[in-house]
Formats: sequence, structure tokens, C-alpha cells
Amino acid sequence: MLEVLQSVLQPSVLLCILLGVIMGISFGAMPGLTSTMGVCLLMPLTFSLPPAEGMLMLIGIFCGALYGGSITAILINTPGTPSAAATVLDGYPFTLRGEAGRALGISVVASFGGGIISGIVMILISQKIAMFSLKFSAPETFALAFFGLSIIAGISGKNLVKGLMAGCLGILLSMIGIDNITAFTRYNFGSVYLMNSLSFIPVLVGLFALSQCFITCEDLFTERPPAKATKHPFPSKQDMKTILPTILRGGITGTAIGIIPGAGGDISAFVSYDMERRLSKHPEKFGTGVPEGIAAPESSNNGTTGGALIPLLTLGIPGDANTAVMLGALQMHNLTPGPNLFLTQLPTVRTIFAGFMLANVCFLVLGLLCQPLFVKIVSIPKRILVPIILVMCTIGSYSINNNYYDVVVMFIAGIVGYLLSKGGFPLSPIVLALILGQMCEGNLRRSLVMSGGSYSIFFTRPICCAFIVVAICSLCWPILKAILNYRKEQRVHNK
Amino acid sequence: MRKIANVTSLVFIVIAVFFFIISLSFPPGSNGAVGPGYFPRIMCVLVVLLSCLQLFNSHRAHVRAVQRGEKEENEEVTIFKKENLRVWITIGITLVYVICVKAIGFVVSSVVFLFAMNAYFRVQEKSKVAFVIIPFAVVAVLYFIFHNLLHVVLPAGLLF
Repeated sequence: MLEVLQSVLQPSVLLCILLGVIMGISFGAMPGLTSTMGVCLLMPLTFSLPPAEGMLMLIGIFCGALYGGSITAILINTPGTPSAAATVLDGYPFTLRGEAGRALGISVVASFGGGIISGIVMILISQKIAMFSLKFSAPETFALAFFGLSIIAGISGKNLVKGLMAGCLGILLSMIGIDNITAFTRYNFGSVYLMNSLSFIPVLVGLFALSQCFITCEDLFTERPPAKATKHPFPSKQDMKTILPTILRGGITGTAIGIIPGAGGDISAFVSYDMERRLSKHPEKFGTGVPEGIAAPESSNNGTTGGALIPLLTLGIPGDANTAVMLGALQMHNLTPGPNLFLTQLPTVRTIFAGFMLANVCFLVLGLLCQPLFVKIVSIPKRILVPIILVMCTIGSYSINNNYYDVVVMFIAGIVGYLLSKGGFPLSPIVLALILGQMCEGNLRRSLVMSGGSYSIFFTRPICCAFIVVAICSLCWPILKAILNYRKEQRVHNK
Repeated sequence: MRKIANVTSLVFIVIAVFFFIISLSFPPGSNGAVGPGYFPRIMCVLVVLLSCLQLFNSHRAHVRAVQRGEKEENEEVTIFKKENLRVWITIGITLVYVICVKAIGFVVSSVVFLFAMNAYFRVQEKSKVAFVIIPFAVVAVLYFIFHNLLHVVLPAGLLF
């Protein structure tokens, strides 16, 4: 315990967390800049830092950004990140009533509560999951990857078919390069660069940072209403009493949703908001500015931070797009996620856990004391930011491998990402499938070698069978729901 | 949105068919193990099936909307209209910049790129100081971080 405290309270670690959180809140608060973009752009900077510091800086950005989104949601009716879209519903009415300070106070305390709850869950169960996964062999790992893929496609967007299409495209792209079982080179079209498979960080920077820049370009000159800073954002005793149960429920829901691969803060925020409205004694008041309406989505979206880190650290499966970038960072630091991380690198893991808690404390303090500063940052016009981000995308993707082709890949991924998001395709399945695709294929083939070509191996091992059954259920559920909805619609129509 | 999604589905089908044809030339597996072409082929079939489903769904939604005489629920999303010109010009300038980074080096091309973008986005209307200082300041900070702290060998041209 003492050692952990000692390692976290080093000035360099503290500074990294603080910097990360400040960057995170700024990225989260500015509409048009997302948390994933922040994590992507700053990842190259963390390579020169020691592993724990580097990871904590990224975690700081992640936690800070999910809170930061609520600042603009409350003050100017525009969510800074998609995760804060639910906060707008009840946050902005507060500002209209002239109670913006109260709303900001509730939001920062709720975010903090959600983050801490998820952190506690993470610390309690991570090691157990990691040790459990020691029992995993190729078939189980395949089943797990398959399970992850099925869920990603099923819940990642409004449109199931488009989500599945994006996921399959991601898997196809992950097939590029040397096949790691027979060493046969696939789909490299004669290019030496592609032999080493698409490096996914440039793809990620392109899909999430560059394409977002292009989207921002569309309404570059529309001026946002100026945000005004407020005083005394600390919530009153009365408010604290009202929101405490909401925070508990929101934090736990958020953590649970965060653990599921593919589901991030945007989904959990709406789920919690909806749940809170149903549980409330005065559901009709939601949408007119009630404290629970801010506390529920905010505690829930920060709850996903710890939740998403659990599968990342224990199984190597990222919980959302932010943690997908962190997976890349972990690999760069030579930390392979999984049980081994907990066996050989326990001090680093503990420092990361403790630092995660500290990051939450950090944005609580910053949110309560330095709120005018962030309001000022939000007012930087987009037209100044976009060119700078374009340069940072370029240099960032170059510096990962000192390879110019990575820049080209990043640029192509940016245009593809722009076109796909215009067509209503969700982007995160592509990235997650790019990671899980290789894991899925390699382990499928390895298990078939183990069994001598018989598929029964997947159904005779209990853990493996359970994962596959759940995966198939999760794939069938949305289809079933769609059919049921369609029938209902038909019935209403016929009447 | 519908049109873009339809074109995208068609592109997906073309890519999948292309990948499928290439995968036929991959060596077969041995000893019960499946070959390197097995998994890609499954994926290609899936992509084609899903894309067809997407096309079918979108067609049905369109027909239903026309039958009921309603407008389609999606707001119109454009990519090749006048409003999108700014995006395509930005993409164009970025393309030139990406090429220039290789040809004439990071420092020079970044400064020029930032000036060009600032001029195009009319930053000088907001703040003349920002217009002049940002290109130099940003490149100096990035150069310091990447060259001096991270020891990245940035692409260099004749001058830098």
C-alpha cells in the first residue's frame, strides 16, 4: 500500500496526471474535439515517458474528457463529446434559469462519483478476471474475441446492419499482412509496408481525429454562443442528498456497460438517464432541469472509464475506442495485457489503478476551482484549432514508427472515415474489429489444429461454449427485437 | 444519407468480391487446420450478404416512404454540394501538405501549410496576432517536443 502511494505521489506522475486531465477537460469541452481524438493525438507524446506515467496521462485525458463534455452541454446547449448528449436535456434548462453554477457543481460531483465507483470495481475484480483468464487456451480466446465482435456490432450504432458491415470490413482489413500461422503473405499487393499488416494507430488517428476535423470544417464559421463562467460550483447539501442515490446507480450502470466491448459513455449515459426517469417520483419534471437529470448521465459516462479499462488490462480487449488507443500504447511500452501483466508487472498495474483514482480527484478539484479557465479555452474558435490538429495528426502518425507510409494510411483512413460517417456507418466497430479480427482468426485456426479439424472443440469446453452461446444470443437479440417491432408496427398499421 | 450508404454498400461488395478472388489463390490448409484463405472468404461472403441486406432495407424504406407520401425521415446529408466544398478543399490542401512533408521536409511545409489554412479560414478576421504567430509557434513547439524530447527523426528536405 505504502509503496503504491509512494510511486503515485512522485512529482513526475502527479504532473502527468494533471496535464492529462487538463488536456482531457479541454478536449472534452470543445465541441468538435472528442476524447478519442485527444487520446490519439497525445499518444505519441507518451512514448518517451515511463510506462506508468504514459498510461496515466492517457487515462487522465480519458477521464477528464468525459467530464469536460458536460461543461459545454450545460453552458451552451452543445455537448462537447457524444457522451454528454444526455446531459444537455436537463443541464441547459439550469442555465436558462440562471443556475448554471449549480448545474456544473452537480455535474462535476456526479462525474467524480461515477469515476470513483468504477475505479473501485476495477480494482476489486481486475486481478480475479486476469487469473481466471489463465485457464484460457486457444478455443476460449477465440470464443472471447467472437463474443466481443458480436457485441460490438450489435450495440455500437443505431443501425445493426451498418454496424455489422463496418465490423466485417475491419476484420477483412486485419487480414492484410503476414498470416501468423503459415507465414503466408496476404493482400499486400506487392508492398513491403503492408507485409507487416496495417498498423492500427494511424488508422485510428485517421478515423477518429482527421475525419472529425473534416466534419468540423463543414460548419467552421457558425459561431457558438459565448459561454459565461459561473461562481461557486459546489452543490448544496440539499442537492447532494438528492443526487447521491442517482450517482450510485449511475456509476454502477456505467461500469457494467463500460466492461462490455463496444459500448461506451454515450450509450451508458442515455441508459442511466432513462432508468433514472423511470425510477423517479416525478418523471414528468425530467427535461426541465432537475438535478437527477444531470447526475445520472454524468455519473454513468464517467463510470464507463474504469469499466472499459477492465477488459483492456485483463484480457487485452478494449472496451471502447479510447481504450483501443491505450492498447496500442500498452504494446508500445512492452506491456502485454492479460494475466501476465498482473503477474510480472504488478507494481505498474497498481500505480495505474492508484493513478486512475487520482485522475478522478484531479478533475474534481479542477472542475470546482478552475472552471473559468476551461470556459475560456472553449471559446477558442474552431478555425484556429482545425489546422493545428491537422498538423498534429500528421506528425503523430509519423512518429509512431518513423514511417512515412503511416501518414499516407492515416490520410486515407481520414477520408474513408469522413465518407463512412456521412453514410451513417459507426466507426468504432472498424477499429475494434481490426484488433479483435486477428485474435479471432489466429485462435480459431490454432484450436482447429488442436482438435485436428473438428469444430466440436468449441462446444465441449464449458467456458468456451458459454461465450459462444452468449455471443450468438447477443447477435440474434437485435434481429429478434427488430422483427417484434416490425410486427407491432404492422398491427398498429392494420388497425 | 441513403444515397451515400447505398454507394458505400456497393463499394463494400466490390472490395469483398476482390478480396474473395485473391483468396482463392492462397495455399490450402493441412492436417485439419484451415488455410490462410478460409477466414477471409467467410468474411467476404458476410460482407456481401450484409451489403445486399443494407441495400434491400434502404430500398424498402424508400418505397414505404414514397407510398405514404412522406418525406424520408433522414435529414439530407450531402457530400458533393456547395456547402461541402470547403471540406474538399481542406482535404486537397492537406493532401498537398502530406506530399510536401516527404518532399521538402516537415518544418518548412508545416509553416506554409498553417499559413495557407489560416488564410483560407480567414483567421486574420478573428485575430491578426494569432494569424502571424500560430504557424511559427506551433511548429516550434512540435519540433521541440518531437525532435528534442522524443528524438524522432522528422522528414527533412533541403533546408530543414
